[in-house]
Amino acid sequence: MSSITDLIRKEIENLSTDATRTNVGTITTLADGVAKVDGLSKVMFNEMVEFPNNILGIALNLDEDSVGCVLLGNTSSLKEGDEVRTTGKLLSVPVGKALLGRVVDAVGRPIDDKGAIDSDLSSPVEKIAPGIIPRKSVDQPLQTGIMAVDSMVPIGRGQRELIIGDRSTGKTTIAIDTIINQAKINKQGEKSGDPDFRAVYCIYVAVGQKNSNVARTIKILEEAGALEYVIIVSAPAADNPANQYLAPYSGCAMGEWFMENGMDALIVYDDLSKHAVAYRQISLILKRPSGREAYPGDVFYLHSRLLERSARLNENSGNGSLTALPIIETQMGDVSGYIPTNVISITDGQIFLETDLFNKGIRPAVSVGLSVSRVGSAAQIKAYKKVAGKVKLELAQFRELAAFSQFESDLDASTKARLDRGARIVEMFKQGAYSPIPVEVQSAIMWGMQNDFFDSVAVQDIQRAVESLKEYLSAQGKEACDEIYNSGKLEDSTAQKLRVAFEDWKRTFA
Amino acid sequence: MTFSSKHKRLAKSLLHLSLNEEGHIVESKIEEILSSLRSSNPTGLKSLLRYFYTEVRRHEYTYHAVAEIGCKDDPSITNSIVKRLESNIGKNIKLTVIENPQIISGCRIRLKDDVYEDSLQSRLQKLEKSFH
Repeated sequence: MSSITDLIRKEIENLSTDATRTNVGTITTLADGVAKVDGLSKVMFNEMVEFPNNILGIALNLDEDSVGCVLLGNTSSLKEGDEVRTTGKLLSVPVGKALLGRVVDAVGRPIDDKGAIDSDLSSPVEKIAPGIIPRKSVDQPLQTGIMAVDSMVPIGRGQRELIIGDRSTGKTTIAIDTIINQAKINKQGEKSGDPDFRAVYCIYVAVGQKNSNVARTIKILEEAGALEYVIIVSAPAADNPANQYLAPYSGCAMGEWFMENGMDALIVYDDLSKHAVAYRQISLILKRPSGREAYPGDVFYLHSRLLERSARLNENSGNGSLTALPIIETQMGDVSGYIPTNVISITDGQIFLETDLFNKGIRPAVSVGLSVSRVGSAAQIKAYKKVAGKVKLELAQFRELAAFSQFESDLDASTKARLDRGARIVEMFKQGAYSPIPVEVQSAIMWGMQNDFFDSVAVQDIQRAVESLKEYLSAQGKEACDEIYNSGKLEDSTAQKLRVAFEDWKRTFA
Repeated sequence: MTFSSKHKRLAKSLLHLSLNEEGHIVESKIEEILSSLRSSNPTGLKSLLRYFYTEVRRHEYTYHAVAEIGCKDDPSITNSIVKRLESNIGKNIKLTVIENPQIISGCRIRLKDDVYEDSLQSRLQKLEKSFH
C-alpha cells in the first residue's frame, strides 16, 4: 500500500504545474477517418494532434484555411465542433530491444496481451534517410536459407530486394523463411560465443492483410522459435487506412534503431501494393489531385523515402545495416504495372515468383530470367561464390533449351547433357516451406552438383537424394561443413573431405 | 479561378469593409452589407455568405477572448486578464467571462487558436494521463 502512495506522491511532485498554452482547432467535417479542422494555426506538418477521448491524429494537409488530419483510432465518438489540440510532437513510436517478440500496432502500442512495452526510447516515424557519407557498399551476406535465392539472387546486409509475384505464389513464405533462418543463425552464433558474431533482428510489417493470416504468421514464427528475434507491426485490412499508411514507417523506425546502434536488422514490408492503396484512399479523401490509376502524384516518393532508409552504414557510423524485403503483388504476372515498376526501380533487385512454376510444383517458384540481385556475388561467402557461380547461367540455358527441345526429336550429346543438368538443378532447388538450409550445407550440396555427384541419380529421385545428403552432412560429413562455416572458404583440403563424404554418402544412398 | 475562390476573395473584402479603425467588427456595417447582398442577390449567395460567416467568426476570435473561470465573476480578475492579454498581443481585446464549475479553480482563456490554461481541472487531467 505504501509503495502505491509513494508512487502517487512521486507523480504529483514531478507534475508540472505551470500554466499551459495550447494551439487548438475545431472539427468542421469528419468523414472516412479524416477530419477537416478549423484553427490549429501553429500545427506542423506530420504533427500528432489530440482529439477528444485520447484519439490521436496526424496533420497531413495544411491548407490556407483548414487542416486535414487523418485519425488513428475509432472515430465513432467524435463529432463536428469537437476541440482538437496540437501536441508539439511529431508522430513517434517506441523503439529498442524491448519490442522483440512483441506484436504492435501502427503506432507501437502492444496488441498481443503481453502487457506494456518496457522501453523509454522512441523515434520519429518519418525520418530522412542516411546520406551518401555514412553509407558503405553492401558486402556482407544475409542468408535466406533458400537455395534458389542464396545461389542465384544473393541478398546482402543493407540491400533492398523486392519479392514480387501474383497472389499465392509464395512471396510471404520466402520472407518468413528468411526470418526463421536469421533466428537459427542468431541462436547458433550466440551459442558459439563468437565476439564478432552479428545477430540480425527482424521486423515484419503486415499491411492490409487478413487478421487470420497475421495470426498464422505469428504462430509459424513462434513454432520455429523465431519470435524472440522479431517485432511484428500489424495494420490489418480491418484497420483504418491511416494506420495502414503509417505501419511501414513505424516498422522502419524500429529497424533504424538497430542500424543506428551498430546492429543488423531485416525488415519485411508485406505488402507495399496494399500500402499504396491505403495511401490512395487517404489522398482521395483529403482531396489531393489524383494521377495515374487515381494514385496521388507523390506515390513514388511514398515508397522511395521508405526504402531509402534501408542502408549499410560504414564503420564511422556504427557499421549497422537495415535490409529491406518489400513485397509487391502483381495482377496476372504483369510487372509493368504502376506500383510494381515504381518499386522495381527503387530496389536493388527483385525475386520474381511465377504462377506457372508454382503450379508445376517448382517451389519456391523463382523465375530465373526476371529475378536479379544488383549486389550480386559481393553478398556471398567465398565458398558459395565458388560453387554457385555458374548455376544461374546453367538454369537459364536449361529453360531456353527446354523450350526448343520440345520441337526436336534428336538432340546432340551436349544439349542433352545441359538439359539433364538443368532438370537436376531445378529438382535440387525445390525446397519445403519454413525449412531453411544452412549456408554450409547449401555450399556442400551445390559442390556435389558441380562435381557430377548427382548425375547418376534419376531426376525424380533428386529431392530424396538432397534430403538424404542433408542428413548425412549433419552427421558424418559435419567436419567439412564446419570448415566452410568457420572459414567461409572452400579450400582444396575441404573439397577433398567433401569428395570423401560424397563418395561415402553415394554408396549408402545407392 | 474557381467559383469558390472568387467567393473567398469577395468574403475577405467584405470583412475589411465591416471593420472599424481598431480592426474590430462593427455590427451596423455587417447589417448594411447583408441588406445590400440581399437586394442585389448575386449568384451563389449562399456560398458567399458561408465564407463571409467563416471570415467574420475567425476575425472575431483575434480580439475576442473567452475566459472560463471556476469561481464567480470578479471585475478585478477580469481586468487583470484583459490587461495581461492586451500587453501580450498589443491591441485592445474584448473579453467574455463564462462561469464553468468543472474547472473547479483557476481559469481557461481562449484567444485566436490559443488556449491558456491554469486550472485545477487541467492539472488533475495531467495527473491522470501520467498514470497511464
